[in-house]
Amino acid sequence: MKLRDRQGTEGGNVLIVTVVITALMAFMLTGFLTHTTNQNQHTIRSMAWNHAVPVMEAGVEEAITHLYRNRANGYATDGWIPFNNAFYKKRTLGDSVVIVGISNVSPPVVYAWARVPIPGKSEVFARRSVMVNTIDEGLFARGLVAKREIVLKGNNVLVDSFDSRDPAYSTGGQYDPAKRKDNGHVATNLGIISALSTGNANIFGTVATGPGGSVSIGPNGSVGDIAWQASGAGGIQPGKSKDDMNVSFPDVEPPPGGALLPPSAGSPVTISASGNYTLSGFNASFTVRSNAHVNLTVTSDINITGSDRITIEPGGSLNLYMQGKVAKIAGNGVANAGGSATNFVYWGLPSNEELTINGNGSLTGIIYAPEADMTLNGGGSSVEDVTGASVSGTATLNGNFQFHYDEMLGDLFKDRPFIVTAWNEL
Amino acid sequence: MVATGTGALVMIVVAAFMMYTARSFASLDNYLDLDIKSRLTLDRMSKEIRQSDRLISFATNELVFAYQGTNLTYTYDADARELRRGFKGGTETLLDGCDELTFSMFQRNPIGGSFDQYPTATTETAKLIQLTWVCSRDIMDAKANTETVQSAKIVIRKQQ
Repeated sequence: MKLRDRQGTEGGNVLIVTVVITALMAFMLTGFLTHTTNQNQHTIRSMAWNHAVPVMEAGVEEAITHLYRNRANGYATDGWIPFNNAFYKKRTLGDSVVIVGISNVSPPVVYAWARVPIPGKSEVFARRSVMVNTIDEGLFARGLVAKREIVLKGNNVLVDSFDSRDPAYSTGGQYDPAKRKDNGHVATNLGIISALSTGNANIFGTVATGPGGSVSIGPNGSVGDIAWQASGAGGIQPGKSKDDMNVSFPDVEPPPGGALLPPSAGSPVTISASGNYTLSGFNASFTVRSNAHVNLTVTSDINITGSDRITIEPGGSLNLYMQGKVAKIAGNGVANAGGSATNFVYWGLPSNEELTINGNGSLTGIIYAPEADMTLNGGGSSVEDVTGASVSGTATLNGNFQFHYDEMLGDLFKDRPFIVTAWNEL
Repeated sequence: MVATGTGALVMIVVAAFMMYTARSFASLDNYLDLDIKSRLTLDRMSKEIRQSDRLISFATNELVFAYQGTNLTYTYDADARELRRGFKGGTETLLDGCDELTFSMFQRNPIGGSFDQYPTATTETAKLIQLTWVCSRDIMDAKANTETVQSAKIVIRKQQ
């Protein structure tokens, strides 16, 4: 009997120990599983949280593209819905949703709200939102720009800027060397060694190449602000050279063809009425009368020589859309009597591969030919003034050129994608 | 005698089990701690760098950004093995137990044919920041767990 009693007590002890150990193991296992579950949930939530960023950005990208493509047509298109002086659009990206809004102010402000489901949880979402400020940069935010090489050769080459709107930085809206500014920026997208060769030029501003590119400067060359130039210091002023140039150059689209003019083979053409015109065989003088505003599409090469010239009388303007391959404007060049660069704009379409202007006097105008190799040849020993702005495929300046960028042009021709100036996650 | 021997054997097994379980728990706890701190730090830094105005100064162990009208600083103290965040006069520790931490800066433009970006030597052209860190935890003075965050590249969204 005693033996049986002892066995009963021991059996009870074993049972208690077993229960305790089992409970301990169960407790530990529960803790282990809870830890693992927490980590898993934390990871999943973090993934969803980060997944919301590209969803949000997709909405911002769509809004910025919409702003760029529809600035002329109004924003209430392509599924964008007007609402309280704003426009919005909802997009579903897989199981995520983004709602994008454009505040109709100038410059526009973009809002994006992203909602991403958290895997494994029903109707639980990660939500993120952002407010993006933009700026509408013009085609001519810099003075002398090229997609590829820029070579400045010759003597007395100078690049500076002025502001034809501001009497403190111009006289009668014209360039005045006593009032010059130092925003004559020269830039290329090309990212190779010596992508930009400034020679012995004096550049009142900055120089820039594409990533990895470099600037070649001659022994008497100088790049810097007005004080740097006044000091006679050579070389590039610290901070005035960058290699982060990366700008898109939208193609030029021609205007509606308009009235077909007879070929100007040896016969000067004079336009007195505003309108759209088309011309083939452009090799004689061309005159735009006062107060006539002309859009001229040229479908062949341009070859102006001898005593011929392009003349724009005061109050008139010429937008020349060049579809032909080669444009050579020599002779007496371009006489822009109104004095404003906006009165003569040369638009080179993608088919325009070459533009050569042999100066004989000053040239006041704007050149936008992003596929053309542009060459400006100065004439003789006198200094040629080029006033306005230029964007081309390549740019070569030979001779005694002084290039004066009109900063007023930076606020015109808003035809570039909008640029993000602030990103504020809410 | 047999019962004592069996009991001792069971106790040894239980003790060993407990020891390994405790070690496993400590290891798991360390992983959890590393994971949470790394994720939170990365989320926070990526958000702040993304919306900063520009990079003011750079060193491989310190970044200073223009952010919300003042300076935002991230500093790695190798001696203390800590990553600290300084903003508006305050300082807080984001990461501890960091054996390595390196900052790199790049331009935004990708190199053709690759996923890499052009490196830059000046803060003026820096638009992308790469963060790399290795943090670890000890168990009974032995380095047992390590976590590495690799190639966390963050683009400053402000373009101009």
